[in-house]
Amino acid sequence: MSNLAIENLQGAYAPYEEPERWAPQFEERKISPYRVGQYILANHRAGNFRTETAKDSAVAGSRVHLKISGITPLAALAILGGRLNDGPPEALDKIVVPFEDSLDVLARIPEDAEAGTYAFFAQQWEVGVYRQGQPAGLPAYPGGSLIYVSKVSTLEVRPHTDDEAFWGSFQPWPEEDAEEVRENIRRMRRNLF
Amino acid sequence: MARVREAGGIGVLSVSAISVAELYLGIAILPEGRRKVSLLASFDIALTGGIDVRPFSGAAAKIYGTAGAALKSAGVSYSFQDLAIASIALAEDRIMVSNDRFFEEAARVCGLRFERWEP
Repeated sequence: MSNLAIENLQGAYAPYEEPERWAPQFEERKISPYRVGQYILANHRAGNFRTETAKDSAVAGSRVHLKISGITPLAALAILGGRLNDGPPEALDKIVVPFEDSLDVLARIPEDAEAGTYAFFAQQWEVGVYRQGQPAGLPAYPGGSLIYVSKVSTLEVRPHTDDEAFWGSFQPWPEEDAEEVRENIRRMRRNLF
Repeated sequence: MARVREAGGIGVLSVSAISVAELYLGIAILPEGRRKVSLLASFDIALTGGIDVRPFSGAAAKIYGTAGAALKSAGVSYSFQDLAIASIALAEDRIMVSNDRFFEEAARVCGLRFERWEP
């Protein structure tokens, strides 16, 4: 089975694994990792940090629009998704957003995805101290390695339907039978029984 | 079938639970016999084979109230079933496909997204 994947991210961001693209922003803005951590905590506690799906159901093989809001700039952001009861959700992407507080994401559900309830959410954490443009992998202060989770949204995924197999799987109703069923419905609505 | 293919295939279509209920009742009151069994089996297969059935949710129920009041003010009469179906489409921001004139009125008065499909 193929994996969920992010097809498009709208907004300014840099891959987490390329610190040379976001670490200089830290130095330019003279913002400490501690303060970034406090912003993440504030956004989390106020309920601002949210991941929302544009619809509540989708068919395998289609795309779903996710809106992540309440993002703390200059913190690591992981976007996660997966089918419930299928083990831990996978990280679809790991980025750092330098300026914006929201992000539009287009996630693709593979055609062979198993039907069920899928959960999407994001996580943020402060990137810790870095040396010479590289994350050192250390929390910025004791207890500073906490990971905060956004509001979770769920999506009901229905199996991909093969049109030809679908139409060939059952006998279409003869027109006169269909009309009789329709007439029954009309009579029922008029309370003629 | 051609219109369904044009719209993106059976996977993008849904049917309201209200319509499904009416169809089941329309079949159930047919005279007993092989024809009734065959129609019911065919309908069951169509539903389990990939057609998405949308329920009458709490959000749709709320919209039912406001949309029904707006239609009443506009002098549009309606059945419970049709307005419930329209309310589901409105609640889920879906395009309603039908050849029933009521849904044109619901589009005009309540902002229902509607496409007329002839059988």
